[in-house]
Amino acid sequence: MMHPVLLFFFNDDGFLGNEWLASAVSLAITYVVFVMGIPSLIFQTFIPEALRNIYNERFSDQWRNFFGVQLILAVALFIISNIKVYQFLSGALRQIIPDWLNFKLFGTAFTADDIAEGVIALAVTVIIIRIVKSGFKYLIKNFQTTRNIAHQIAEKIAENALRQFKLTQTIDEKDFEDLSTLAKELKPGQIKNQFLEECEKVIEYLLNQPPSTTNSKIINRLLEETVCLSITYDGGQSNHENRRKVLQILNLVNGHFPRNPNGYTTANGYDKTLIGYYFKKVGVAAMNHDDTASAIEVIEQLYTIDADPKEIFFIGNQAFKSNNHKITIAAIHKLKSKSINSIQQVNKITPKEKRMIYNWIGLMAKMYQRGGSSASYAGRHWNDLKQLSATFQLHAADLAAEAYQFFFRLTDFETADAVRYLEQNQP
Amino acid sequence: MIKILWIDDNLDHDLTEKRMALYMEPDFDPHFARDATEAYYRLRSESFNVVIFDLRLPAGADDMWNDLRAQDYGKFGAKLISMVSNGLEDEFRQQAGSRFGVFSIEAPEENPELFEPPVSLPKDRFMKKTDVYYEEDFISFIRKIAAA
Repeated sequence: MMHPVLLFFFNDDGFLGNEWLASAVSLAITYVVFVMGIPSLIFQTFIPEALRNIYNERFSDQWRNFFGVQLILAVALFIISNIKVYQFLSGALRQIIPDWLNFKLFGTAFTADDIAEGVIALAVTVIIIRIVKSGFKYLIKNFQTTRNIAHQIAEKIAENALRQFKLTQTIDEKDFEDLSTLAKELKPGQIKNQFLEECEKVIEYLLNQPPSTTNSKIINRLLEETVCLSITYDGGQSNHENRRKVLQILNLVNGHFPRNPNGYTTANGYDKTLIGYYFKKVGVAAMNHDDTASAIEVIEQLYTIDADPKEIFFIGNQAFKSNNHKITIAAIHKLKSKSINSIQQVNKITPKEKRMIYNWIGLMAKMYQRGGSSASYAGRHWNDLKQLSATFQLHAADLAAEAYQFFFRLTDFETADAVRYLEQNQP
Repeated sequence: MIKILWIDDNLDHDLTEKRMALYMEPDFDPHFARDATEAYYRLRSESFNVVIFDLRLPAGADDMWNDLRAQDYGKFGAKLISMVSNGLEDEFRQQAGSRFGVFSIEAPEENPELFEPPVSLPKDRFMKKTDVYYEEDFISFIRKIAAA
């Protein structure tokens, strides 16, 4: 009597029986379709189209390899299950297996015929296990993928960009485009921050390379089209943490400009202008999202990096128009500080200092024109200006007249009118 | 005009009202820094009348803190006040006339080194955050330091 385990294999109604094999093949093919289909369905349902397209372009090898292997295994099973094929294989194996391999197991004698059948049974078993196991792994991996697909894509693009840069000192146009797409499409919060961290890695690597025009251009492009875009894009979403992360990256870039012994950065005019511009964009985006804290932080940074005062004025003015007085006050304070600081350093009022004062007067005038508490607050600044200008034998009213011309030439008629009002109705 | 540098990483959160209160004082010129790196460069390049330190600060981006970062050090504010006090004749000469204060979650007893050289902080210039609820109390604290 054959051992039950052996009976399972060596029995026409058992493992290699026609009906059993036919069922096994159809189950295997159904299983493969299920394993391929469920992740695709989830993918289609929950992942935005833009991200799907990028993922399919960058990770298509994975599913292609998996599908190819599964297909081959299912086809192999299908072929073996054909009785004629099975008989042929069995016959061919019998020819190869020498007679001296005959043996006894569990009291049963096994001949070359039995061994041949056993080899085929083993092959079928291995194929079935392989199909089930790899399918299961693929399914689990795809469920996990769906949860952090954005991070995977960002990581892959960043790796690609760095690899490309190390070879050619450039970054692929496709990588720029895909990063821009991610910047626009990703959800706010941790997902976007993970993406920004990958961008930060690329930027940090570039910053640590010997300075060159190419590196600067790439960094500026990454800042404009990816980092800043992630929070300024009209149709996109971002939150406070994302804006903080962008500010962190801008500070990282600013921190890499060389510093003189006093601690001031010695970035050339163009780089400093650009950084100031990016900070301003972040400030405006913060204001549009009622993120007062980030907007005030931007104003502080614009002061620290000694950016053009017009950037601080711009944010303050926008805030004033939206009645966000906290931001306006922060801006007007910084314009005053900038003016005083700059004058103290050179101990005179040059055209550069005057520009700062004009921007200060402009914001002061807008607040004064509003009247009420706003005017009362602006009155303090007017008195501070009078004191400061008196130190240099100037009159605040003359500076106001010059400020009027300044804003008139810039066609900022609203501010020019406010300054004229302040001039004519001094506190 | 009292020029103030307040170094704290919580200015956006529970300290927002105090921050705005500083802006609204007619004779205050407030400035802010969020981490030790930012504060380090500000203190080297500008002079302030009053500098308020939080003891538990993040390091910031600069590599100068890497050794401490590797040790999981968290009190970069304490480190900074010590660095500045040690460098008043040198890289921090801009702060030679500054008065320092501490506004922190920690208690004075947890930081005895602040009251010894080189910092030698007077006891009344250390304020626990939990002891100051109203903005006016914080303003008074700063004025007291400025007047010392």
